[in-house]
Amino acid sequence: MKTPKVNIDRPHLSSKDIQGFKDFAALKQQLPVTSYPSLTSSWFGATFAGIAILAGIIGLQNVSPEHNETLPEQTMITDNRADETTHQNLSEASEGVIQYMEDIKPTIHEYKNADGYEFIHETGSKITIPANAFRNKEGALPEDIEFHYREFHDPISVWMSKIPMEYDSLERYFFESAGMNELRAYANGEELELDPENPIEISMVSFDDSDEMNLYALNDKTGDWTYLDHLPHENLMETIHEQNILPSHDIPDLKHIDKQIMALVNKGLTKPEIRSYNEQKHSFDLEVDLADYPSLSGFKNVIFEVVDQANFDTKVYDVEWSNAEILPSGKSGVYKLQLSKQYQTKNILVIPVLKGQDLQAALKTQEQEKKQIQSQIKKLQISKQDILDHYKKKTEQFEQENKARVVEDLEKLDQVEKRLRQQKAINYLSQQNFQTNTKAKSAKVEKAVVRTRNFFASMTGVFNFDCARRGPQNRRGGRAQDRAESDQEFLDNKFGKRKKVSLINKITGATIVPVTLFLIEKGRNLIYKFNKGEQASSFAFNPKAQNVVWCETSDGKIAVFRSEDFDRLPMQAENYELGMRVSPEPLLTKREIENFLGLNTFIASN
Amino acid sequence: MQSTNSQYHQSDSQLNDELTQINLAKQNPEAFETLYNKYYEQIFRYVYQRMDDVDLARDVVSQVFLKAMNKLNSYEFRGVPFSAWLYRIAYSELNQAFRENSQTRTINIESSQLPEIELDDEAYSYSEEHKSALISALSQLSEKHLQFIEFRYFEKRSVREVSDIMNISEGNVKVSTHRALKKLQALVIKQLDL
Repeated sequence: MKTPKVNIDRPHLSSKDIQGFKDFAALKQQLPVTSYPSLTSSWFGATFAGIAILAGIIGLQNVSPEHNETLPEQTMITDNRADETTHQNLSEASEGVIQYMEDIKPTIHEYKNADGYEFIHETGSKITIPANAFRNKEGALPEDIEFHYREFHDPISVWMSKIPMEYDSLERYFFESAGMNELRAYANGEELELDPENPIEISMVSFDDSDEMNLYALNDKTGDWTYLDHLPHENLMETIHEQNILPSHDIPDLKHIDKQIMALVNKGLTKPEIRSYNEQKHSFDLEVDLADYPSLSGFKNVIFEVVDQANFDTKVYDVEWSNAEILPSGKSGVYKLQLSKQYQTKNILVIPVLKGQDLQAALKTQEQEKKQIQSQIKKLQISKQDILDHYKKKTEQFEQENKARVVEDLEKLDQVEKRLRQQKAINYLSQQNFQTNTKAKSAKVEKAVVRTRNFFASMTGVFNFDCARRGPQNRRGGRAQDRAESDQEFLDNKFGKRKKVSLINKITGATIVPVTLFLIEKGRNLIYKFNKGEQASSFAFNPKAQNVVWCETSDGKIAVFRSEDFDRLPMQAENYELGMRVSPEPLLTKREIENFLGLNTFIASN
Repeated sequence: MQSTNSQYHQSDSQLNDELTQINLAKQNPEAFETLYNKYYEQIFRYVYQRMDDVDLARDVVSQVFLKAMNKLNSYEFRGVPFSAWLYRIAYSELNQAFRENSQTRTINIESSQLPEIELDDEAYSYSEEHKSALISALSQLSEKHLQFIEFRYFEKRSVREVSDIMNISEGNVKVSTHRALKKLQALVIKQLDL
C-alpha cells in the first residue's frame, strides 16, 4: 500500500448530504436475478412453531411476507422446516454416503400420545414428552406415536449425517459442537408436529464443558441455523433438587393452661389493697364473718374505712343499727357496708383497713399469697412452654425424620437415575473412538465429568449447542513453514508465501484431487472442510494439534493422512506431499471409518 | 475516558426486529431497502473516513451493499450484529480497492481529536510541532496499526464493536490498540528526535 494521504479537518459531510447519495433502485438493478429464492417457496410461511428455552427465552419476532402481520407471541420463531419433502433424515436426502446412516439411525420409541413418555437415551440424555404433545397437520391428536431420537457427539457422526456444520459469511466458520440431537415424531407414516404449548423437556448429555456454546435450530430445507439462546451446562451428578412436600403439624391446645394462669392472675388482682388504719378517718369496727369474702380471708380484726370521708354523715354512729353487713360493691377492693334496722337501711362504701399486728400479719400473708400465685403462674407457664417445646421438638423430629426419608427417597430415585444416566454416558463415551472436548479427555473415561445441557423444544428437528470457529488455530500465528496451503486446486495467495500441498496415493503414487478435504483435531468436536476451487477455503492445519486429514475418492473410498503421518511430515520441506492411505474398498460403517482414520490410536496416544 | 459510538449498541428487541428484517430481505430484495437506509450513512462514513474522494467512496459503498445483498442468504446471526457484518464487507472492499491501487488510502483527522490519542510520554505536549510529528507518524503506521487508532480514537468505537468488525477477541483489540499506540509513540519520538 502506498503511503496514506493525510487530511486535516476536511469539511464535514452532513447526514443530509450522505442521505442524498443513496440510490437503492440503482443498487437493485445490479443485483443478479437468481440471487434470491422464489417468494412462492412452499416452505416459507407455511407453519410457525415455537421454541421455549428452559433458562431464559429469546424472542424472535417474525413477519410473514404473505400476510404482512406480526406474530403476537414473542417466543415464536418461524419453523422453516415444515415442508414434507425435507423431513426425511437430512443425510438420506443428501448426496453421498447413504449407507453410513445405519450406524447413526435414530432410536424409535412407540407410546400412546395421551400418556406422554419419558426415556433415557443411550447417551444418558433424558427426554420427557408431555401428554398429547404431537398432532397431525389437521390438528388432530393421533393415538399411537412413533418417536425418533438420535444424538451426535463426535465429528464422524456429524460428518456421516451430512448435517451442515459450517457457514460461509465473508469468512468460513466451522461449528464446534457440544452436543446435537434430532427429534421427530410420526403416526401412520405421517410426520407430526409438536404442539408449541406442550414442549419436550430435554436434558441432553454433553461431553464439553465450554461456556461459549449457543443453542441453534436447523432449518432442514435451507441448511441455515437459527440462533435460539445461550444456556449454561450443569454437572449431571450435582443437580439434586429437594422438594418441600413435608406435612405440617398443629400445635397442641394449651387453652386450659392459659385459663389457669388467668385465674391465678385474677386471684391476685382481686385481693384488696391492704391499707393502714387512720384514726383520723371515719371508719367502722365491726364483727364481720369474713368467711364469705375470700378476698378478705386471712385478715383479722378488719376495720372498714369510709370511702367518701367528706360527705360522711357522722350521725350514722348515733343510730343503733340492728344489722351490719358487708356486701360486694362491684368495684375491686371496695365494699358496701349495709346498716339496717327495721325499715331503715343505710349503704356506705367502705374499704378494709388494718392496724398494728393485724396489719403486719395481713401484709405478710398477702406477700406469701402473691408469691404463691406467682409461683403457680410460673409453674403453669413453664408447663406450657414444656408442652410447646415438647411438641416443637416432636414436630421437628417428625419433620426431620420425614424430610430425611423423603429427601433420601428422592435422592435415591434421583441418584439412581443420574447414576444410570452417568453410566450410560460413560459407556457411550468409552465406545467412542474420538473423545470430545471434555476436561476428562486426557483422564480415564470412567472419571469423566458428564454434563447436561437442558432446554425445552417446542418443535421437532435438529438442535445443536455449538460455537462458530474460524479455521484451525495457530494457522496464522505459527512459523511460516508450519502454514500449509494445498495445491493449485486449493491455493489461496491471500497470506503471501505459501507451501503447496499435494495428495498422493501412498502405495501407487497416483495423485488424488479431492472435492473436499476434511480435517479434525484431537479433542475438538468439529470438522474443518476445505473445498476445491473455493478461494476462501485454503487448506491449513494447526501444527501444534494432533490432526487427521481425509477425503473421499472418486470411487467412494477414503484416503487418509493420519495423526502419526503428520508426525513424520518434514516441517522444513519446501512443499508438502501427503502420502495418503487409501481404503481398499468403500467403508460402510462408522466404526470402519474411525478405525481407518486411525481415531482409535488417537485415543491410545493419550 | 473515551466516548464510544452508541449507534452500534442495540437492545434485544431491536436485534430481534433486525433479524426479522433480515429474514424478510433474504426472501425479497425489496425488503433490503430498510437495512440499506438504516446503515447507509454508517457505512459511508466508515468508507469515506479512509478515502479522499466522495464519488469513489460512493462507489465502494455501493459495492458493499451489493455484496451484502448477494451474500445475505449466507448471513446467520451468531452473536455478531448485522452492522458488524456490513463493516467486514466494507473493510474487505476497501482493502480490495487499495490493493488494486485504484484509490488512495487516506487518513482523515480532525485536529480536535489528536489530543485524545493517549501517548504515554511526558515529553509530548501537543504543541504544533508535536502535532505535526504525530500526524506524520500516523501516516507511517502500518495499515493494521492505523486501523486500531482510527477505530478507537477517530471513530470512537467500543472494544466490542472493533472486536466484531475485525473478527478478533476483545482482548486482542486491547492488545493491538496498545501496540499501535506504542508504535505511534515510537514514531513520534523519532520524528521529534527526543
